[in-house]
Amino acid sequence: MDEGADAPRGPFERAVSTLNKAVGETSGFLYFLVFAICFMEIVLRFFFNAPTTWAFEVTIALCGIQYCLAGGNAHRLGRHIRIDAIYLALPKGLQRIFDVVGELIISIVTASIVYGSGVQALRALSAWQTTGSAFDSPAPTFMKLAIPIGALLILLQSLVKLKRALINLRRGHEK
Amino acid sequence: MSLELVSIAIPALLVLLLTLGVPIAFATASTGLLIGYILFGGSTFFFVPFRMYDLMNSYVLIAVPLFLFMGYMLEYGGVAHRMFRVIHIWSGHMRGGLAVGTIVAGAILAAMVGVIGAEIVALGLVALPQMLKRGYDRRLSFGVVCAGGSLGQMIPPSVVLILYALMANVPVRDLFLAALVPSGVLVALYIAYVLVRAKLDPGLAPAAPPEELAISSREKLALAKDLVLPLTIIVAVLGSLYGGIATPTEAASIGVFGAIVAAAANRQLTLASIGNALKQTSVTIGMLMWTFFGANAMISVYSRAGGVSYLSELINGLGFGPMQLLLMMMLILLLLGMLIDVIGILILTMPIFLPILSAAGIDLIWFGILFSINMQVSYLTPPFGPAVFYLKAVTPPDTSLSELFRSVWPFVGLQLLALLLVLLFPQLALWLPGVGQQ
Repeated sequence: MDEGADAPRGPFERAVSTLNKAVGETSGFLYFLVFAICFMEIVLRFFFNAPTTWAFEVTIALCGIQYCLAGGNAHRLGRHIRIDAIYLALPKGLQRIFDVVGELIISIVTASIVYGSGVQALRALSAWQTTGSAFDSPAPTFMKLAIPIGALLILLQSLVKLKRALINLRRGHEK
Repeated sequence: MSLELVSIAIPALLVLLLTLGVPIAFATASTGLLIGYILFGGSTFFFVPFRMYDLMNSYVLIAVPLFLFMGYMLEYGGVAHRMFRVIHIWSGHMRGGLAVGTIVAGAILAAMVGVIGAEIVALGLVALPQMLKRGYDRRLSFGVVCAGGSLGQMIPPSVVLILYALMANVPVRDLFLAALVPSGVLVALYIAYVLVRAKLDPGLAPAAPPEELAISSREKLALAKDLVLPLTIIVAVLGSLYGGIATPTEAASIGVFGAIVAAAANRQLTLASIGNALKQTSVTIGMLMWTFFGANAMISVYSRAGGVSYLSELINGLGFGPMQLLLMMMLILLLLGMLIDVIGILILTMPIFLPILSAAGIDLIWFGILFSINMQVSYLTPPFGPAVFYLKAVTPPDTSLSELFRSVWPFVGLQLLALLLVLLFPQLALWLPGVGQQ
């Protein structure tokens, strides 16, 4: 579970990688909470016939938020599924160029998600959107905020990788 | 842009990006956003996050991280290793017993874990060295580990089945029930194959020397605990689901509870093991969900442009009967399985296949099972055979990838046979869910 030869160097890279590792790993603990709530809900409903009004929407919100936040750490570890059969067969020089182009594309696409979802999140925040159920939690507002934050985490990690890819490209040419 | 052009531009752009090495999550998202921007302008930037928000609101989806948590917890809790040791000792006196034991262990693991990589690595580390040490045929041993370890995607609770249920809008419970008999058919075929091979050529799978099996009945009984615990978890999870006591999400939380109890019983329940399981869950989810988000963005842009109904009409225009339609789809899936990961195939093909299948009146639960068996094949076939790659990581250094791929062919044959059986006899899949409804 480390980045090997592409380990972060310099303050920006280290800050982003540390942030993503921390967010990814810490937010994982939300699933323990989700497990505890779901399990409690079964016990309350089955043995005491007293289900809660909030378990359903709270677990959905916690999970939804975690899905978003986990993307950056997965990108840091290079765990997003790639189809690399062709990529691996290419000469090293071409791979380095593809790395730069690919990472540039990821940066652009995540930046545009940050923009679109950011606008929606601000709207939800200013209207303070709630679920409108009996429990009426502000879950929609928090979930909509999580999307731009999660996309921003991936964007930052992608900029780190882009920088790395550019350095590798230049080094490759020098050799 | 005309629909024809869109229908060509999307796959072309996607293939180009994938070739560049862009992960599926971002290749699909950028294809969707770019084509969406060309077709609908700036509104695409708001439409795509809205679809993400829709997905985040799915209650069934929560079962996925919980089942992953359960699986990792069982792995870190040492349950898998202990269980195999028991099966190994109990099946040792039989000719070919170790190989049969490996398949059975794979199936039991599959009913608990459902994370393919973890299972194959576990079997590869625990079962494989024992088979090789006993003088089992190398190819037979490799094949058994790959085939047995891939069952996790097929045997419930399986993450792929939950995601399929979500996309096809069928109950997870029915899909899980439907998977049971076909999974049993697969396991039975594997075991029969091993026994026949061992019978024909005893040198392939020698029986254990008597001194190795000379342990007291009391010791044998003491080992039973290591098997009882996992089986109890399986019964509790699937039982609560099938019995209608729990939703899939709640059944998963029962599984997590069981996994924690099992780890405690093995004296391996530590904060570190829980923490590691949660970290692993987070990384896997980060990958899985963003892949889902990306593919959803692309598919929703295409369907907003009218592409999905356009393709459906195009395929209906071919005048295929249901069986021809199914065979064509199975062939496409088999080909994709050689190149792409199962999750990738699921989210790229199903939004297009499922409306066509519904329109043709084909049962989507049955199709889900056909899809699952088909994807079993995809784990083993080159050039992209994840099961083989995972095994390569833990085999002796003198093992080549091509030897591993040669070892799995008989099992690919058995999987295709199972696929054919379920295709010809839909009742194999549909009988149990039907019983459940009465």
